Amino acid sequence: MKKNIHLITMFVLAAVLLQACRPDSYKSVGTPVNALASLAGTWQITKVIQTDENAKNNGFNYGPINIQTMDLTSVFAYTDFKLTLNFTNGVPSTFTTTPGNSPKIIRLASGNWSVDNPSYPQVLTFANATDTARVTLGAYPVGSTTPVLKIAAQKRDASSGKLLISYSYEFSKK
Amino acid sequence: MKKIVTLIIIIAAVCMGNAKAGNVTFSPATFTANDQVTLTVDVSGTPLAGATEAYIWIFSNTTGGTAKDGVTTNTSWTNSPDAAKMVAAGTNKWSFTFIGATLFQQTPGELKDFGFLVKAKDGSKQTPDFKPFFFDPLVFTPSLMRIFPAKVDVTDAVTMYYERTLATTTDGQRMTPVNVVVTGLDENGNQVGNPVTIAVKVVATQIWAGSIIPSDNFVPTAGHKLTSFKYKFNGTLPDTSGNPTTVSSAETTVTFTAMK
Repeated sequence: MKKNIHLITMFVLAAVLLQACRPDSYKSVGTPVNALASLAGTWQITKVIQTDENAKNNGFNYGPINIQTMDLTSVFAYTDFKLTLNFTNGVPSTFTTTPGNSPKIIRLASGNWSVDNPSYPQVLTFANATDTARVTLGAYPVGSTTPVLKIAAQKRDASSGKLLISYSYEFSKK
Repeated sequence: MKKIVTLIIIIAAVCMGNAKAGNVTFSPATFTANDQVTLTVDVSGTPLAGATEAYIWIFSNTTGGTAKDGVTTNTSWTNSPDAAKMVAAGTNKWSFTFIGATLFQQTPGELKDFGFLVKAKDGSKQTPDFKPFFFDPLVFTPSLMRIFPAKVDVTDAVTMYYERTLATTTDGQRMTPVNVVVTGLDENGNQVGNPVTIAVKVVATQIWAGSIIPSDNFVPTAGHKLTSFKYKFNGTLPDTSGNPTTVSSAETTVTFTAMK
């Protein structure tokens, strides 16, 4: 009788454990982010940071002031700068820049724009009949009710190729 | 009692795990991550004592930060490369010369310290870790008049600083800067356009600054290039009657760095 009780107990325990081994049901991660489409629209600069890459690499610090980075947002009229990126049939087409009194972070006024990789764009190329400019994306403007487009620009020593200065531009959607 | 003995044994074992830093000397004694340094280690009392050859296994940032192995030395535990071979420096003493930033392929800003052990080529014997040994930080040397960033091209935003505590003249030490006058220069040292006067503002105690984008202010004539600029600060100081008198700093010239 005692043996039977043990057997029954083991059987019940095994049933409970097996029942607990059902695979978890995970929620859907949703549809993939369309990074390219998120770039569409008119963007206006909200923040500009300049970095002395050499000072940063050397870990330079100086009590009174930051000697690695500088917030240029209010030093020059950067917040005047607007960039409009248009699409035609879901494909990048024309662009316009409206600098106002801002330094021209993209020197072309208008033309066509393209990306290096439509699925995961990293580099934006702006071109017209006479000139071409390229900028690197720092972050896609996705996943937020107030999307922020980040563009980065790097400047290297022309002879050694060493990175000397970088700029980070943040845009909000207009 | 048994527990106490066990605890003591455990503590002793932990302490023995890292060899004494006193067994290691450096030449020069202090060094930054950009300096070449030679370490010499005495392996007496370790499994490497009496060895006829020794190899280093070296690693960075043992106390925090991004840790990396020596790029050219730590390629294979069971077959250390020639780049890791140490130089005999006396009985049971071995030396190794390196530059931290190069060996770890990390910037001086990233490198805090390093550690190492000495091993047989095939990894069959090894010493305990010797660590940590700290790199000296690179030191920024401020000057009375300087720019940010330290190197600029014609299209960059340039900020010019005046740090009064570093002035070495009585006028310089008493002057309250009001503006900075910037003059563009071409490849022959000739003035480009007109000088530009920029109001300065206090950015920290005793430090004033003004900013400019040279290419927006100086357009060279055809056939010439904007290659440098010079700047000076104008300010006021009270004369013997207490009335403000205008004074100027010396002029400093900055040559643009060609960038792409």
